[in-house]
Amino acid sequence: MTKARLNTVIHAPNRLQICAFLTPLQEAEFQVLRDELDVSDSVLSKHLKQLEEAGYVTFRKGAVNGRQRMWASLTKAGRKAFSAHVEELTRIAGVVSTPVN
Amino acid sequence: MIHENENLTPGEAREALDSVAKMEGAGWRRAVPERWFGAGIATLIGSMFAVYALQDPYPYIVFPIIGIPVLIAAGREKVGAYGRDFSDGKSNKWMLALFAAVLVVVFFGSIFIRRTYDAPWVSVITGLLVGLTVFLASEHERRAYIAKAGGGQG
Repeated sequence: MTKARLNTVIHAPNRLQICAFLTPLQEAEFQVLRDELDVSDSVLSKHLKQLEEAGYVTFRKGAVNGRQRMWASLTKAGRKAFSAHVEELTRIAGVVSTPVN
Repeated sequence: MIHENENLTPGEAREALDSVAKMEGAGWRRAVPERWFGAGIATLIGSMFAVYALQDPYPYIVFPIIGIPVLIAAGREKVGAYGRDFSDGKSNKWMLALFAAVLVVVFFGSIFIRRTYDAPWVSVITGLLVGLTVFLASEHERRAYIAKAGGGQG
């Protein structure tokens, strides 16, 4: 066991996956995120809300063909926190560090 | 939010890193622009130049001007995600600004030559060359995304 400085908001598996998926993207639609994570709408909403409260994710709403759609993106603080978290994981895993976008 | 007392084994950390790599790859894969999108943008931008071969191009220039943002919005809606690689970063912004500046110079240059020498073919050739350049740039971008996604798409 190694003492670690991990970001508890990001460390939960689903939130870690959300951040990882959003890292190379400007924005992703809610449904796309849900499909990639293979979780229900409510589970995804809960995790996104926690990331939003931490200031790591922002949302944009838009209507397409009369349907309301929500787009999520990582904030600058979110990218920084995720990058630091991955660095810490890399340190613990003892693998060679690779920069995170 | 930083928890100093979290205990984690190297194996668990590696597992988390694997999941990060997998999801980042999925993000890149989602953002791979489709070929029709690059071809569509190239055609519309090329037609903006080529339309000046006509005696009165102004009623027709409206189609690419409206078509480009419509196509971009349609492409994004279809894929449901879009990458940040080409619009983020100082060097990318400079490259885009330089490309836009070259396009503006070529645009007005071709109109000037077409009117001065009454040579409509100049606009057509310019439109074809610009369209081809944009298409090749979109293919380059597409390949960069596929490489970052770890291959598997072509």
